[in-house]
Amino acid sequence: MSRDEIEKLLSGYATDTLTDAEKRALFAAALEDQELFSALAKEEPLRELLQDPAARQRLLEVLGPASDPFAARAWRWLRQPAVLAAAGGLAVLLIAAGVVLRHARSGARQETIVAQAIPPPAAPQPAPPVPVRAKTQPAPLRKAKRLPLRVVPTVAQEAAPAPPPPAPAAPPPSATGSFATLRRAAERAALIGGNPAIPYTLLRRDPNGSYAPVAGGTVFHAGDSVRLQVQPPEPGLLYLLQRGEAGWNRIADLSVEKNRSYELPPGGGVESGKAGQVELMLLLLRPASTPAARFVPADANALAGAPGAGPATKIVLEYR
Amino acid sequence: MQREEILLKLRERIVAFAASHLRRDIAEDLAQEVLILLHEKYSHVDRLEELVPLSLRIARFKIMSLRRKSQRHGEYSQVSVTDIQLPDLDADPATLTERKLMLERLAHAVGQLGSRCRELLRLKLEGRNFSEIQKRMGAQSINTIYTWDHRCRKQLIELMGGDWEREA
Repeated sequence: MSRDEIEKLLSGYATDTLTDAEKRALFAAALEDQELFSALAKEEPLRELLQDPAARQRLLEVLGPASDPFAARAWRWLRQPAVLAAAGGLAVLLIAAGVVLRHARSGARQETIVAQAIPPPAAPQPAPPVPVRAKTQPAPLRKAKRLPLRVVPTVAQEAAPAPPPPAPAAPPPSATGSFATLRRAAERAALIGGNPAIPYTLLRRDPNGSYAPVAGGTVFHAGDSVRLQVQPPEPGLLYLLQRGEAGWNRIADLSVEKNRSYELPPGGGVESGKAGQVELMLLLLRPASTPAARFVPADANALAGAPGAGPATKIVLEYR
Repeated sequence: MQREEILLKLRERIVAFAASHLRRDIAEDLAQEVLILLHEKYSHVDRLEELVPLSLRIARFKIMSLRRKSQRHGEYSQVSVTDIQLPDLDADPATLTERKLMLERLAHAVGQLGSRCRELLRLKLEGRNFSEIQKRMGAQSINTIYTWDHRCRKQLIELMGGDWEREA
């Protein structure tokens, strides 16, 4: 023991708290150290006083009743019926809150993935050619990420009686402006060049593996496979392009005949497992009458907007 | 450590301690008296943990006795012989009164201690050792208890004016 540690034993001397080993350490040190010995000697009056049981009792009365250790006091307090009832109620509340929260979260997750196609307006309108800037088109469409989107009827869907009309689900008030912006952007995109739209229907793969048409406003879930059923208004080469990070990627192209139904992509559907992902797709029909030229996907935007280039439809699929 | 060696060191310490309260020659006489008593009456006591407290107690009694004797002789305060109260030789009322006063001062000071110090002192007065106190108070190590006790003693002695007993 160090000198400081031994000095701490001093207070145990008067109360006779020290063990034999502690006493030996203290007294041996005191014999070598006059200061410690004197301190020990000064404790003697207190020691003498505390050897009197009556004096000890008097001090114990002043000190009051023994206080149990904190754990024992806490345990005794917890065992009171009122505390037990309150604790039980709180536990039930917490469990209920947890269950509700978990349910709400899983519910919210199920409703987040939505696919939406926004086609151009029904009738092509003559408009002066406007130079197309590829960089400007994706920007307004990105706003759609935050919107609860719904299927807007395409030309074919409005004309044909078979598909049901779009669900009149109103977007939230805060999103209305953005939704309008999106739609105007889609209309502007379709009007560039004044090319007609290509009618299409969204198909979803059912549990049996076959693709079936879906109604407007349908909510798509993660892992859903989506295909397009297209009826080209004229014969030609039909392209289906998907926007990637580097630009447009061609995912299907086939020679088509007028008013015949085709499903794209032919090998399978478009899938997305990521929430919040927006797929921008482009249906492009190059009429058989146009001069044959090598198609470069990177030119898809310009091609879709070029006057007389042929029908084109942009489709936005959003997964949230 | 052998008894003789302990007694030798004790003499040296007692002389130095007594010299801080009394004259040097008186201090040496006092130490000699303590040793004679230890040799004649307590020759069977040879353990360090017994010899030191015993010698301290004897030394204290001797110092108190010398002080009272000096007071009676008027070494510190010369008063008229008619004003001197005669002692009751059957009892020691002075010691009893001093103890009583000290106890009241101590009780008053103890009442002003913090809860931890009060609890620690209570356990000590109940006769528990530091190891038991450590368990009882839930301290991580016994050194923690030593430190707490040291601080509590310091606080208590300050509340009592720097000394356990008032100088006569």
